[in-house]
Amino acid sequence: MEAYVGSILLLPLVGALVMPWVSKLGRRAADALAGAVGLAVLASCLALVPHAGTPATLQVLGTNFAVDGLSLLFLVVISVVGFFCTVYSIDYIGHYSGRAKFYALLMLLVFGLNGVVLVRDLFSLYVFLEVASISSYVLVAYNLEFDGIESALKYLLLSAVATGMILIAISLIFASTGTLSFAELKAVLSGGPNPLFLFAAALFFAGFGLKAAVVPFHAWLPDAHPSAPAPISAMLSGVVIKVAGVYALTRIFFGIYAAPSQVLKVFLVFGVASMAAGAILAYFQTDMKRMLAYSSISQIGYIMIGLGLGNWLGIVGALFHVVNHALFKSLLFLNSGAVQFRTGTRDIREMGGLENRMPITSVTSTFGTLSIAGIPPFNGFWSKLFIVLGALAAKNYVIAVLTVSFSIFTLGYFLLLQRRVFFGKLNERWRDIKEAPAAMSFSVICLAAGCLLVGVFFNQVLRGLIEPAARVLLGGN
Amino acid sequence: MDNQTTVLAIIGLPLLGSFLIPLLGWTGRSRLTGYVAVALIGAANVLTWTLLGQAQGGVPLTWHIPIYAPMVSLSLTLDALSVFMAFASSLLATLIAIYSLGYIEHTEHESEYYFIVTLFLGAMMGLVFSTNIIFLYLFWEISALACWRLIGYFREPDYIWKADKAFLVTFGGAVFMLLGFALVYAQYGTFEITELRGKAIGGVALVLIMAGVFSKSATVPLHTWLPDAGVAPSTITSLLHAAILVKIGLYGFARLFCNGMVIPEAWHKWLLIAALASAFVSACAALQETNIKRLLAYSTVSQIGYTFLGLFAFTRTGYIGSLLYILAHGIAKGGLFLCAGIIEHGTHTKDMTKMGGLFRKMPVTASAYVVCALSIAGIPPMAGFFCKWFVVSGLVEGGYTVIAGLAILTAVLTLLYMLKSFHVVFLGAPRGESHREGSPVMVAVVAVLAVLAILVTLVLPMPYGLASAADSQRAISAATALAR
Repeated sequence: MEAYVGSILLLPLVGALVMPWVSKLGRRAADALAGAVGLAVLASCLALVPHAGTPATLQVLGTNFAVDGLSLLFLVVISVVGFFCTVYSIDYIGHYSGRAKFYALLMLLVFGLNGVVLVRDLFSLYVFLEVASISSYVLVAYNLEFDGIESALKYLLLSAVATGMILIAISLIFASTGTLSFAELKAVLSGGPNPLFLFAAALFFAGFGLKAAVVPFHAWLPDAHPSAPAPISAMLSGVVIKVAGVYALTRIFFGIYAAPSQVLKVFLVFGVASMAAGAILAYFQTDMKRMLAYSSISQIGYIMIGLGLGNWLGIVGALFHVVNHALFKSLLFLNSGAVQFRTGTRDIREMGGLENRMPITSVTSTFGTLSIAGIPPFNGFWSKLFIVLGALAAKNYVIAVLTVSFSIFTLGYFLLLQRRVFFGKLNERWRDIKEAPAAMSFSVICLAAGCLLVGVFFNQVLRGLIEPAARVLLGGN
Repeated sequence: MDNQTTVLAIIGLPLLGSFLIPLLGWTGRSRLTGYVAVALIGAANVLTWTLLGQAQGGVPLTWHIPIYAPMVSLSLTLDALSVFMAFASSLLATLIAIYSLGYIEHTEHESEYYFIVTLFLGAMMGLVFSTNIIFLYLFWEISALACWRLIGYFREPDYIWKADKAFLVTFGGAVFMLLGFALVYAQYGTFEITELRGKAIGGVALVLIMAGVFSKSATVPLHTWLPDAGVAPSTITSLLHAAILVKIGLYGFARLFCNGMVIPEAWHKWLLIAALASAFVSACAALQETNIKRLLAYSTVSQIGYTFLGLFAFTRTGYIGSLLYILAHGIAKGGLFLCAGIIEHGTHTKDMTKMGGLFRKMPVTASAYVVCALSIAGIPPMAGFFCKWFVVSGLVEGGYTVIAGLAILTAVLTLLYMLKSFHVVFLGAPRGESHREGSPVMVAVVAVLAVLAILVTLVLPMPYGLASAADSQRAISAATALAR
């Protein structure tokens, strides 16, 4: 098992480092290397799934890495989305320059994210977080157009504030306790309340909340996600906000702080704000990717609510929603990328009837829509069901009514998107466009099938992947 | 085949078989898709025939296939209610699918049409046999998404908006219903309807669940999507009104509350008032309509209200009357919409003021129309009369004399608008030209439906036996629940 952990951690780094040389052999060699690394990491993660209950550890250069149920859940999400985004890029990235640089940055991003979920102390967490963040700044600006660079700068500046706060919190904790390891910090805290830790908690919440794009810390996301190349948007919305935000928040607040009820309340309040604001703002967007970006904020709200409920059903629902949202949101971003690839626009007012020319994109996008709205048997239904059941188990009726109401809202704006873009009579302007190229279609078909299969076989996913992760979180309670 | 396999085949054939149809479409065999759809739907219907004896004869059978135990398991119940619904829906759906062969030919997206129709029927079959609430909800929503694609079938921008509206209204109702189910789960800790038997339901949960039931069964004030859904192909409106969609709410109520949880006495009056108001208001709306499909749609809203009245009376006669009316109304309303489809094909309009004198051009269609219209209006030899009679006497038995009187008034209104529509469309001086009778398949199907509308009266003892078996099984299960 150590070998798997090692390859998950190091393969992307090695791949990124040798990419400049391999790419000299030609375009295909670069594609093959990126795809092979993605596939190997994915295979290693899946090989670990049967051992989800038993933690595996690894020591590299004096740093401890470990896999438990929670890490594994996020590793699977990273590697699945990462692999399909890489495959998608084979065709997509053709109209940008610098294929090798793109792959190297993407692998570096995956390396950073894998590191974040594998480490067992705050300092290393911070380091890997920066690795992931810096590669994502560059990737957002990858089109080298005004909006890309502007939003990358915005993303960079706001993230710098966030990481500043995180670093201050880490320093405060280190100054007062002399340790940064998760296990030791937890032991220190169980000794009794510590006012310094409360202050640090506020800093952590603001810092990682910004990374997770929780309202009111969301301002950077609707700019950064649309401007990035589509596979990067998919990575950012599907994975990065969850690993850098949700994972770090759960690891710190459940793992170290043992989820006191005040913290859970904060999760709930910010979760409801995100869910509501994201959904309402999404409704008024005319830029396809911007609408998806706002929808991500809204869905992060659902995850925060599930975590904030703090009971078994709520946490299972939230963690399941992490997996589901990664699948359907990356699917939808890749679809929007395919549309932009062929039509050259993201404005939904200019589209219409694309189902006649891009049937695969259209059908898979319908799958994504139904999943995110929570229509059974698609995957989104089950996670939302668990969150609602959790809310009722906690006797929190307001939350239950709100989550249900906003799922109607979600369906509303996604039907709007489907109606304007795909469903309907063909806009004459797009008479000659074709379906997206093979690699792009392959990725979206796999992700759409994933949405349906995870929904149909929800039992296996819950038992194999979600419940071990939930047990890690509640074990801290 | 033993009973369990038969039930699984009834659900699985259309539900999973439907995925063959797009495959045929992609490989360029779209011409075959219609026949495959008819075969799958027909096979489901034939299989329900083999269950009739078991359903009438004896004890309800339930199988649990654990999925995510103990919360979610695929629980299938074979009793008179489920077989009755499955039989009625699949019979009508088969006829409508045959009619589609003539109607939907040469339109775009033909294979999508047959795919969704078959999936739709599969969802209905799953719905009527499932007694786990989560699976009930699952099939409920599959039917909603099938309906969404089918209403927007002609792809006009306005039509798509109406399809979205139907989806949003029914989904909105359904998620609140789900919240009601979750409340029940929080209280009793189970999603199994068989285990919930005899348990009292709280007021909030009841209101939430009724939001879903009423939105699906297009009851005032959640009905507006149904007249709008008339933009769909006539076969689809027929399917929605007669065979599948609006009956889901009725069935759901019968399954959940007539055969399951107990509604506190105080709520009965309010439910009856809601149903009566819906029946009456929509009958008045139908009197005003000039668009033939909207008129028929309002008529459905009104008749659904009538059917709910029978269920809400919570008496044996009312229950049997409602179940029979689900069948009789399905046959008659299915026939009327298919007649409307032929008329629309022939005259290229849905506006009744532009029609007239069609009797000479379309004698078969006109005769079928009048037979079905009289059945819905409740004129004595027709099945509709007996059903309405049962409903009204069920209400009187329950002690709701005033409501029974108002229900009869609504029946009079129904007769008025039905005769008016027949008069305007088929009698009088011909207007416009190039009217012709529909294709042989289409005319044959409406003729069969008209004959069925008459025959149902003669063979009424058969469905009556089934419906009263459903009622007896209900009584037995209520008694065992009390004894437990």
